[in-house]
Parts: sequence; C-alpha cells; structure tokens
Amino acid sequence: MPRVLIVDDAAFMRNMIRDILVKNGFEVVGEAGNGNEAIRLFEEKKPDLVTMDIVMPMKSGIEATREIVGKHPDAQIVMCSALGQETLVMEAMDVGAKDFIVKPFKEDQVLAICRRLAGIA
Amino acid sequence: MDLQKYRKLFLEEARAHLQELDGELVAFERSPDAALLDSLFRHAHSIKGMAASMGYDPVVDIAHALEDLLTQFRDTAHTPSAGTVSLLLAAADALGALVDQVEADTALSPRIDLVARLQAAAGKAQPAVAPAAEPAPPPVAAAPEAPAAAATDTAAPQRLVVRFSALAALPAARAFQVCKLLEPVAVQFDPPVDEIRGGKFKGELRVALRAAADQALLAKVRAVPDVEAVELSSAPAAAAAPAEHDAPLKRLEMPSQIRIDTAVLDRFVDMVGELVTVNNQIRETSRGLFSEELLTTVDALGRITGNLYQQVLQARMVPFSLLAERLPRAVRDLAMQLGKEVQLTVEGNDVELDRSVMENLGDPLMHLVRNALDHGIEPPAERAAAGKPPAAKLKVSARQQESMVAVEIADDGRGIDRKRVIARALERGLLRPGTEHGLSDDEVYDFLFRAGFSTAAAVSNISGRGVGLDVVKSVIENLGGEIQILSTPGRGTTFRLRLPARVAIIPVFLVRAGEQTFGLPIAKVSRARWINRADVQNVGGREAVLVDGRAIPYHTFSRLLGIQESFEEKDEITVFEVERGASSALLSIDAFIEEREVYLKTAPRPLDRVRGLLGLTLVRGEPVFILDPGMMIWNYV
Repeated sequence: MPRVLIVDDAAFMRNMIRDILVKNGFEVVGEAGNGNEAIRLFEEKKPDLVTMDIVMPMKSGIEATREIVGKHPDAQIVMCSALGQETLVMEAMDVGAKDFIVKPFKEDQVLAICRRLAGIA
Repeated sequence: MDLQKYRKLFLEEARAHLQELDGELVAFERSPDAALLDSLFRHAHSIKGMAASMGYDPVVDIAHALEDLLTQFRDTAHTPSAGTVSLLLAAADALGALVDQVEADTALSPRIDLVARLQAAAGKAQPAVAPAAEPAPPPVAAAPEAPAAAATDTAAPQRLVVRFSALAALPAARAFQVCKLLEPVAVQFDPPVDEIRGGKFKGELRVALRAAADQALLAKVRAVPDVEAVELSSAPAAAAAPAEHDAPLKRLEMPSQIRIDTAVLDRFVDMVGELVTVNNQIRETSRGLFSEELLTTVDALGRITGNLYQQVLQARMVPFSLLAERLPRAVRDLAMQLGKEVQLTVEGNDVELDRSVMENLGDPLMHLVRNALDHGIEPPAERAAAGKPPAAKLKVSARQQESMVAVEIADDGRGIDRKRVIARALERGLLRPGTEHGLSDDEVYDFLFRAGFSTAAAVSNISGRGVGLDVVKSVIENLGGEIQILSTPGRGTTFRLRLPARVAIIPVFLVRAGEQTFGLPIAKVSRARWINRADVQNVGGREAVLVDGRAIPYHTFSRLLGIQESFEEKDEITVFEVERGASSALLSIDAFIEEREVYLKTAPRPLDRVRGLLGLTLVRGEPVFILDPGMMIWNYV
C-alpha cells in the first residue's frame, strides 16, 4: 500500500485528497499544514509520495520541495496547484517536483498521477 | 470530482468557437477560400474534441458530420451553394442549442435528422466532374492519433511533436513538464522554454532531438497528463510533410491570456475603489499634521492608487468586435427573410468598452440593425426605381471620442419621412395641431422614441417584437449614454449613440433629501437603524442618539446638503450608521427609496473636485449624485 503525506494549509483540501486516496488503496501516513511540518514529517515517515500545496504560511510548498528533494533526490512530490499558479508550478518543477494536479481536483487525474508516481501505474 | 467542473470551461470555449464559426460561415459564403475553410474546420474539430472528452455525444455527432462536410469542400474545392451554407449555419445553430442545453444541465437531444442531412450533403459534395481516377479522399482521421507507435531505434536525429488537450488547465506548465523530461536528449524546443516559462504556449510543442528517443522516455511523455498525442518522425524534413493533411488539427489554439472570472474582476474594482477612499482619508488626516514629507508621500500614494484604479477598470474593457461578430450572420438572415440586399461593413472592431456597457449594448444594437433592415432599407426594386444600387449599404461603426465611444448604425435607405412622423404624432395626440411647423428635426425624430410609436404601416415580426425604440433609448440612457437620429429623405438614416467607455457598477441606496434623489454606496453604510424622533438628544451641544449605552453623533442628510427637509409626519425615522475608523455616526434620511446597482460615472469637471462626490448616475433618465456619507459627515461638519 503506497504511503502518502498530504500537505495543504486548508483542512478542506487535505480532506478532499485524503478521501480520494484512501478510497483507492493509499495509506495516508501524515498531514501537514505548512512547509516546515512537511519537512519534519517527511523525515519521520519517509512516505512514497507527497501531495504538496504551493502557497502556505511559514514555508511555501516550493521551499519545502527544494529542501526535501535536496536531501532525498528520489522523493516523489506532486504539487497541488490552482489555476493562475502556472509560474509557481514551473518553479516547483525546477526544484524537483515530479508532477502537478490542478484544483478543482479531478478524481481520475489525481489518481492516475499519484499511482504513477507511487510506482503502481 | 467529475466532469461537471469542466463544464464551465467547455461552455466558454465552445461558445467562442461557435461565435467565430458563425461569422466565418457567412464570410465563407461570400468568398470561399482555403484559409477560411481551415479555420472553420478547426472550430468544428475543437468543439468535437472538447465535447468528446465531456461525453456530450449529440454535440460530437453534429461536429463530426460538420467536419466531414467541410473536409469534402476542402478536398474537392467545391463552391458551396447558399442552401449548403444554410445547412452549415443550421448545424452551427444546433450546436449552439446543445451548448445551451449543457449549460441548463438538461438532457442533450440528439439531432439525427440534421446529422443525416449533413452526411447526405457531404456525399453530394463530390466534384461535379470528378477526375476519373481519384475518388474523394477519405475524411481526415477523427482524432489525432499518434502515428509514431512504431518508434524507431535508429540513431538518426528525430523530431517530436507533442500535442496537448485544449482542456488542459495549465497548458504551459504541462509543456514545461514535458520539456523537463526531454531536456537530456533535446537540441531545441519550439516554442522555446523561456517563452513557455512566461506562460506562452498554444497546445503544441515541437522538439528537435539529438538522437532517437528511447521508448521508455516516449512512454513517460505520453503518460504526462493532458498530452493527447506524441508524433515522431526521423527526418526533420518529413515533419513538414503531413502538415497539409493535418494542418487544422495542429492548430488547436489556446488563448494566450489568462481567464479571470468576471466576479473576481468586480471584486478588484470594489477593493481598489475602497483603496481610493482610504487614500483620500489619509490625505485629509495628513493635512492636519503639516508634514511636507508626509504630504509628498501621500500624494505619491494617491497617484499610484489612481493609476491602479484605472488599470483595474482597463481590465474590464472588451473590444467592440465581441458584438460586431454577431452582426454578419444576423444581417444575412434578416436580409434573406425580408428579401433585401445588404452589404454590411463594420468599423472599429478594436474600440474598447467596459464589459457592462457592452453587455447592455447588445440588444439595442441588434434592434437598431433590425430596424434599419426592416424600415430604413428599401427592397431592391424600390431602390432601383430611385436610381440607387439594388444592394443597400449598412455601416456599423465604433469610434473612441475621449472618454466616450460613438457607435453609429448608418443605412443608405429611404430616410425618415418627417411628414409621416408628424401626422402620426398628431393622430396619437402627442402634438397639438398647428404647432408642428416650427419643430426641429430632432424634435420630430424624438417622437420615434415614444413608447408604442411606430410609423410602419404594418408591424412586422422583425422589428415589432414588443421592444421599441423607446426601450433602446432608455437602455442607452441608463448606461449614461445618449442617442440621436440623423436622417436625410432618400439618402438614409443614422442612429448615433454615445456611450461612456468605462464605468463602474456599484450597489447604492437611493434616498431622498428634500425633493431630490441621491445615492449612497451600500459599501459605505455599515447598517440601517430605525429610531424614534424622540431618541435624538442634545449631548454637549450636539445631536446624538444613545445606542447600546453609547452616544452616537446624529446628522441629518438633507441639512448636511443645505436642503429643506421633507420628513413625513411620523415618529420613526430611518438612519444609516456610518463608520470611520473607531468612530461612527448616524445619518438620518428623509426617505428611503430603494436599493439598486448603478453605473457610476466620474463627475465632469469641475464637479470631480468636489470632495465626497463619488460620481453621477442616471436613474430613470435623471442625473443622480452619488455621495460618500463619511466624507460628508467628517469633512463638512
């Protein structure tokens, strides 16, 4: 069962992603509300996959991605983007994010991307 | 979490394609050229592709049949008959109706009949004198497939074309993702990565590869979401070869601009409007502090805020072409229906108007065009008898004139018969007999704007749809504009509209002070209260009302304005509570009329200097001042 870390400052979005993933055979090993927590939880849980919001308080998803991938180049991080954050998404891919999903989330696309990054395509 | 979320995008894009399809079909009838045909094909194809991904089968069926028919024209260089163009237009209409059904969320009704007619026409469109050897080529493949399945392992350099779905939410980011994957083996990207980074991307990425791409890498590219097709060719020259056949498929154009929900834009306008107000407050406060430096800084802030406000309003501007695009089709259909010949010319497609003005201008403009075709323009025989060319000229133009836009609808028809208008006015009792001789043309034409006034012998079903020129006039005036008629008997009639190019809409309370009506922006009133006249007390020489144990200063709106009050004889009075920072005040209103949204026009000079006067609007044809209650209370008392 692929182990996922969900990072988003909005509980609403975390719940939404959790519901999709849990229903489809993923295990959510942690949830973080900002970049700092995300880094801490990543070190602690070593998840197979991270869904990472971009704009968050304290530390952004881009910074967190940069730090995580810097230490763990194989980290599988998928950015959660909104329309209008296209430049930020590209910035995140520059620092090592592997893919992105766009809000409003489309269940099959979220699954396809998460499955592929978790190696169960 | 389903396709419904994409419905809005589908609706927007499909409507945009249909709009162009319509205009281009009419143009195609006049001059069938290959570029137009390509463009028509592209619209049909885009609609089909989007509808297919949404599962709107009836849309797919029509778009597909339409595509087939267009393909036949392209392959046979056959000129379409008027009947066929009407069929194509009917298909466009049917697509429009289906899109409406999508929006209304009702079941889509399949149009088997229409599809059959399109298919039959496609069958008939074969060349009249067919080159014996060659039967009509097969229609273009329905969906872009990747003919690259058998990717080679040769070491020869390759070219790769990656096509993305027109529905991709962030197409540039997707293209960027593909660039990242291909970077190690790529020599060149078209468009260049820097442009993609800047958000410039239109659905197709061409890549020159250093060597043959391996299958695993290609599989990764295909797995990127929104990638629709990956095509590979080993020789660079060959890349251009299939272009002719596929050309319309390749250019699935995505607009280069970002879409913003208009509601978001309206919120921007509101917020920046607030910013302007706050800035004015800071300026007032800083005046009392006698600090040169502070004043300079506040002035700079004021300029920036002012510019920001202008920019935000600018973002609401849309080109006149949005309306003008609808005209060729409407004029064509009407002319056919009325048996008239009309050559339409449109000028000023680039002239910009505020979105709300444009939205409201649509119906009046269409009405005036109908009016011109129905009443102004003569049948060809009558024109010929008058020594005019049988085809009438109708010109619709938009022109920027400082802060206004002049829109003209000019025909070279029979002109307005002054005598008939006067006769009708006398008959309807709008004019006293004997007073008609000194009337100016403007005064005579003004009768045409009276409700129910029509000089047409019989009310036709074209112009006589219950909407008259009176409605046109009131819509234009409510927008802060004006309308004028110029006419020369036998030479034609021009309707001249002048509209404000930019306006802001704000919700206001319309209130009465004395005999006059004023508007107070709802955003500047924190709450309404009803108090008894007896509650107003004298506290330290000033009037105040005790609310929750707190004495709140009390002012009378009409007295602030120096207008005689006109209170009704009752004890309960309406007061608005207005806040500024920590302080608040009550403002009593003579009478509350209603709440409504108004178009706020900047007051003309020198009134624009009056503090607290936010602007002007027209309510039922009368100008109404929109005032800032806070400014009145704290800056004038």
